[in-house]
Amino acid sequence: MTDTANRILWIAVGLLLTIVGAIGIATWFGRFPFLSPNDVVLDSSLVELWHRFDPWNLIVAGCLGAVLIWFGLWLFTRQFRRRGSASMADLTVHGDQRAREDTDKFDGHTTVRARGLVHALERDLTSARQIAKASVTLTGTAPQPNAWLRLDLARDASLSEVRDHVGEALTRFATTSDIRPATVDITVRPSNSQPVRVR
Amino acid sequence: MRTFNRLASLVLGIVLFVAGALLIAEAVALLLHRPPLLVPRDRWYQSLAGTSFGDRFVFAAAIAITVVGVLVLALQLRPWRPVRLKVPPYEGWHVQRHYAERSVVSALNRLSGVSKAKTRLNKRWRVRVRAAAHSTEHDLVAQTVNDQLRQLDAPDHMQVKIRLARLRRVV
Repeated sequence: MTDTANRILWIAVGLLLTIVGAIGIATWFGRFPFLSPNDVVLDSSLVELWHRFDPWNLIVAGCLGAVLIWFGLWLFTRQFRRRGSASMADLTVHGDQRAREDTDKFDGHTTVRARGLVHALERDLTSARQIAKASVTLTGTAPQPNAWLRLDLARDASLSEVRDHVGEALTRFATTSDIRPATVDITVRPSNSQPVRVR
Repeated sequence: MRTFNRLASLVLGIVLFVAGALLIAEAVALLLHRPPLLVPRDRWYQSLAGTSFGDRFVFAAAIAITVVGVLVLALQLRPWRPVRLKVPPYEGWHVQRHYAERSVVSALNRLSGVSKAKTRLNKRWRVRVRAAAHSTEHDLVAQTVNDQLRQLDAPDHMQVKIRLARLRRVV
């Protein structure tokens, strides 16, 4: 779940709490048209409704509980996906038809771990002097996933040089793996390290 | 605030999960004519059925809920400092604000005669610099800030505001 999604969720929660609280205050002062200060919080009509639908009322309560469990789990697990979607799955390449005709027994497939692809791109990115560290995340589905790159720059590295190198690394990555990211989001972290003193 | 929101959402997720599980467990207990597991149904029902909206406890609860709601809204709606700054002509390229500020501060503190530098960058690439230095160092400070941010492809409309304060002499 992205930061924006979390912010929207909490705006909704804040708005809901404010409305409920304001209705309670307005009712206490007798200014809310649909409720009076003499009305009880749990009205007898609600209790009658509950008993009238017995035993379906318990089934409805159970379904409501299931929805709460599902939403709670969904909200909890989504907090570990900062990019909003799941990481790219491993690649599976099946043997092509021509290879099968050449050798009768060939009917295999090759699995390329997504982690391996990510590490390869990270290593290629850090091969340039200007990039001290690179962290890559691929989300979505191959062959056009979304790429998220975080680059820690070396001291005095200029962004124009870095940009050229990143472009070349992505081209090499596409040639080798056949993966061409649909979107590339790059975050650069400039260095603040002190220059090395030479005696 | 972003980390706080994430943690709060994690807690909300756990609370909703527990509430759902408890609701199902209580419904099953009621169906099997068993005593309640955690929520005393009769006491809960009687207290709500015997409390009116004019009750002062309801009023206190309504005020507390409103205060929490307004506080949450205020925290979420106030402008947040951006985590990243866009590098305008290049689609998809961003600079992490905090690191950019630190690199400028580091470059300024390396200058002789300049110390205690502080920088604030906003999302429109407006830079505020405060440092302890003589006013004659103004141009040098401006040049350093400019050079440092140009390395990060800061846009041409970048604005730099510099405030220099003299260091107090220790007598």
